[in-house]
Amino acid sequence: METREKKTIVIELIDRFQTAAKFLCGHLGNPQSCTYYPQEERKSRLAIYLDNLRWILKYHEINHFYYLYGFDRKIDINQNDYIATGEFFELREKVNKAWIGNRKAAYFCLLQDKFLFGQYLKALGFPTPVNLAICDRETITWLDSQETEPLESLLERDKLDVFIKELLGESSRGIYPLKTEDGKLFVDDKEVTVEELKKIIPEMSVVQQRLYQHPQMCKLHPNSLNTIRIVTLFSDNEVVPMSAVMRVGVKGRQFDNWAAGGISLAIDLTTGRLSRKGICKPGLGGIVEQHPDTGIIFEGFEIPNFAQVVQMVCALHGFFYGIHSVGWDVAIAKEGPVVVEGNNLWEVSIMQAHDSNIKNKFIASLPDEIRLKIRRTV
Amino acid sequence: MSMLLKRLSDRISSLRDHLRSPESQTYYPQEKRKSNFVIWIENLWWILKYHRINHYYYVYGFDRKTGVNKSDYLEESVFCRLRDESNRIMWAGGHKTSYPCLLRDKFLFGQYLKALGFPTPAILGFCDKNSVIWLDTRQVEPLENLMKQNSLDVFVKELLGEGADGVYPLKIEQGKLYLNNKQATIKEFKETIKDKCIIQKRISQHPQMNKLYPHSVNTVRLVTARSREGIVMLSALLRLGANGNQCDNWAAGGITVGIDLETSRLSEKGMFKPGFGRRVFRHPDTGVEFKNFEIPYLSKAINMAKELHSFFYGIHSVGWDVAITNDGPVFIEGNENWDTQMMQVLDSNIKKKFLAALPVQKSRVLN
Repeated sequence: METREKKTIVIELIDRFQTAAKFLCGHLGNPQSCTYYPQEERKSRLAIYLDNLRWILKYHEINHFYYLYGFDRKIDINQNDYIATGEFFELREKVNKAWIGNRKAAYFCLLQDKFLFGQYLKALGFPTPVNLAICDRETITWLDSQETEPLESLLERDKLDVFIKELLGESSRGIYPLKTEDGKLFVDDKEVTVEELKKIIPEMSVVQQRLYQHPQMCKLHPNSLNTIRIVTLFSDNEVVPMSAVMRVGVKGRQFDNWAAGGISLAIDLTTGRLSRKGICKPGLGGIVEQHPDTGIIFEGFEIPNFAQVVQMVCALHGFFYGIHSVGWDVAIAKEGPVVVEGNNLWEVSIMQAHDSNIKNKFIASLPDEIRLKIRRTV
Repeated sequence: MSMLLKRLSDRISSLRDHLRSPESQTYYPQEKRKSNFVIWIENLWWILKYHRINHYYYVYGFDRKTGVNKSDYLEESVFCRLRDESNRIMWAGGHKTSYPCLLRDKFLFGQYLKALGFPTPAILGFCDKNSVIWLDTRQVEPLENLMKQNSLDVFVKELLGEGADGVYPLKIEQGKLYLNNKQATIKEFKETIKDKCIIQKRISQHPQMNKLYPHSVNTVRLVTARSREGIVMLSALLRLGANGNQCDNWAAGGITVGIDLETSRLSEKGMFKPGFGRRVFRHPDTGVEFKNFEIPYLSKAINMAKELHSFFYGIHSVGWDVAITNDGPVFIEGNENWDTQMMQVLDSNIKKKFLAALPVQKSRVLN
């Protein structure tokens, strides 16, 4: 190993040690302010400290979701039932190394690239927001005419009501709602010039028709498109639904992402009804039982067409044969479910926060050769 | 150790065959050729430089005394490295992902083109040894249900197959199944297919293409690349089946003929792959002369290939296999591995054009 490489590893180790030490000190400092369960009996500071130290030693990572998973409570929770992020990533990568016949292909671009994803679903006949064009900061290629024109041609298309989305963007980053009316451009309802737009939009984007959701979904929070995140996986060559959560925006924001402050709720896979507890991301809120803005009580709230959602994503995953597990983002429009995105990185933490059985279900779905190796390691 | 020795002995015997009686292997018997000693030295030099035998030595005409500059040719491993590096450099707006599955997987390729509105043979369904899924109903059925079809005239193709491997013409007529034009049972069909396959509708080619050779769909291979100036055409040739074969692949005994892009006409010579034949000026089965034979819809196919490549923004260069039908060009496949060796047989300018189109010029390969 070269001296430079050795130095980098040492620096990284020191850095990791410092972060872990800071994190542990933080835990010791004020655990009651971090808890999601202030009403329940909680562990002592020392027990919390030891819990976190044990996690770091076992998985070589900080458990940023310690409080989210409710590990600080005195009730009987088996931490071994939860999968560590690094462990999950490693298993996912192993199982996604797709071989078809004796040949290999990496299929992630199908999920990562929003344009490609939309076109694939269109060809397969699954409902998805319509891709109208693909653009960079200078030009736009309209799919109806297959003509590449200057970006200014946006103004010639009156009554456009679209989202400009970064081609390979993640979460709500690089997404801009855009409208045209009477030769004027509006981003986020504010008038802008084409030159201003060029400065805002990502290097390469897809122009996608805006979706309007079912009135029942508007009741939860009308300003955001509230989507279902449902995870499906291949188990014994069959696609099965693993778990589902509902994501709801807050404070009039346009996005429902949990990472951006949204609320997530478990959905009962058989009834399509919401659970009682809505959870916000660590640092962005705690547990809520009704929507802070609309006042809607979550428990028992019925998602329209949910059975159709489950059936649709299972059928769809059959065409993503190179990817073991997918987190689908599904919106409910007036006409029925619309698949907005598929995610290879489907945020295991948010799913585990609602379903303590994720690790078991995920590992049970893995091919024998990988599962046996895990058992041997354990 | 024994494996290593076997590989070494195979290579030595392959080299011995390659250098045995150069006069019988030449593609240019009328021209002045180098001495056996010079041919031997040149091949040795190639092996030392690239660590592999140059199986294309004679088809490139390197054995001729004049008219060929070896440094104008791109060695296969060098091409593969440059291609992979270029595809890795390609990105979509600051983020990177790997796009070659879009070309490698025949199902994805077909569905993507369908969504974009480019003509491509319709995919009817999927099958493996046990089941078939029809796309119109999305119903999974036992493979035996194929026999319930009133009539079916399709190609069954392995999802990630390359070349003519794993491509089976299949017909069902009056309750009988025909595989590779011979009557077969469903059990025999099951034994033939290895893995996941697509079921793709057969296309009929333009009568003009039938004149050249009617037993295979004769495809135009168009190579486009993403250069700094936009999508450019690198080269084009026509692939023809021969000797009664149903596929036009060069590696399976087909002929390649150069195309003059300005006139849309064939050039005079056709070349077989080493091991299958030599140079021909007429089709050996139909007797049709190649020189000046006009390919219908060629300029349309070129424009479409360039346009189509703009939607494959993650891939630097693509070799499109385009069939010509009565209604115009139909895109059968796109290949990231577009067989430089075959293209160079008829176009000695490929290296120059390919290097000029690279995102970053790799000057050392020019030597």
